[in-house]
Amino acid sequence: MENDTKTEDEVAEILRAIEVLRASPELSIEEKIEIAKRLVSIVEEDKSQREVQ
Amino acid sequence: MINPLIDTKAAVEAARKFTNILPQEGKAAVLDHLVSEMMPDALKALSPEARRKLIAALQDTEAPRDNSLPETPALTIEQIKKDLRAADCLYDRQKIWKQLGAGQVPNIPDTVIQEAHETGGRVIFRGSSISEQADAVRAAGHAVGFWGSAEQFHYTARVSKPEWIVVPSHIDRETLDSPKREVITSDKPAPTPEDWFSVIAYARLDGGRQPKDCENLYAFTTEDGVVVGSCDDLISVSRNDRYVHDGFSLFGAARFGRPRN
Repeated sequence: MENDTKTEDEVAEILRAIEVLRASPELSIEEKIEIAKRLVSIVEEDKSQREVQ
Repeated sequence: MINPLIDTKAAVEAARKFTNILPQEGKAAVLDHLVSEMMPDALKALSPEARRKLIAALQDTEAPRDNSLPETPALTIEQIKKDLRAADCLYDRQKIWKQLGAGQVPNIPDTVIQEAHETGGRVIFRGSSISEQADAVRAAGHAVGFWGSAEQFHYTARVSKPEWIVVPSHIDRETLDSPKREVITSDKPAPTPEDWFSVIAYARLDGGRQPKDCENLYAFTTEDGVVVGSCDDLISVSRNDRYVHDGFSLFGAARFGRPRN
């Protein structure tokens, strides 16, 4: 249960941060895309590792 | 023109190869698709380590901005008057003018909008919570709508439970879990904060009449002829919890007009 709560909190934090990123008037869309690519690479890497396991 | 919405790999590839030459819409589509990898369920499925990496990566991007939203000066009554004149519409305008005439800073509307702030040359209304906003819209006799991306929907829908939603055509409707909602498909991008004031100013729809230049105003006509659109009943930004609902993410809106015969 505690883990579930922690996961929910982490997910909420990530979603919030993404929203802040998307709404940021200080970053260009190109910069936002670059950041999003980094995030996707983390996700993809995690997926790959789990597939290997 | 590439279609960056085919899959995430295509979006990454498009971002890598074509970002510099894509039109803004294409860039936005690429960004949308990349971000769509970060849906709640997908994030939950990640390892804790990956989630921590994501948080760290995102915190890096936030660091220069200090994670806090800039203090914005309260609008003066004169500024509000000026904006109201420019807008030529707002919720319960007569009431607002009356309040202004009495030297009060108006509530727009009472239960929803508490303060008005000006940032970057545009007016932003600071609202209360999403659920309160949604309740206020319903109390005013309107259906609550949502117009935004899927991942934004997942957050806002939990609290605002919109009766109608506008989604891009590439969104899988099942993912929106909206059996009772009216789903309107539109590939027009949801309004951005920059669009808002134009929307407020001109999207005052009169008996279902479509405004001029509705393309630019993100008002449109659905298949059954009902004009829906961005509304002057509720447009707000919730800035009280770092979670920036900047227009496109929360779009509590009323349903305007009547079916056109």
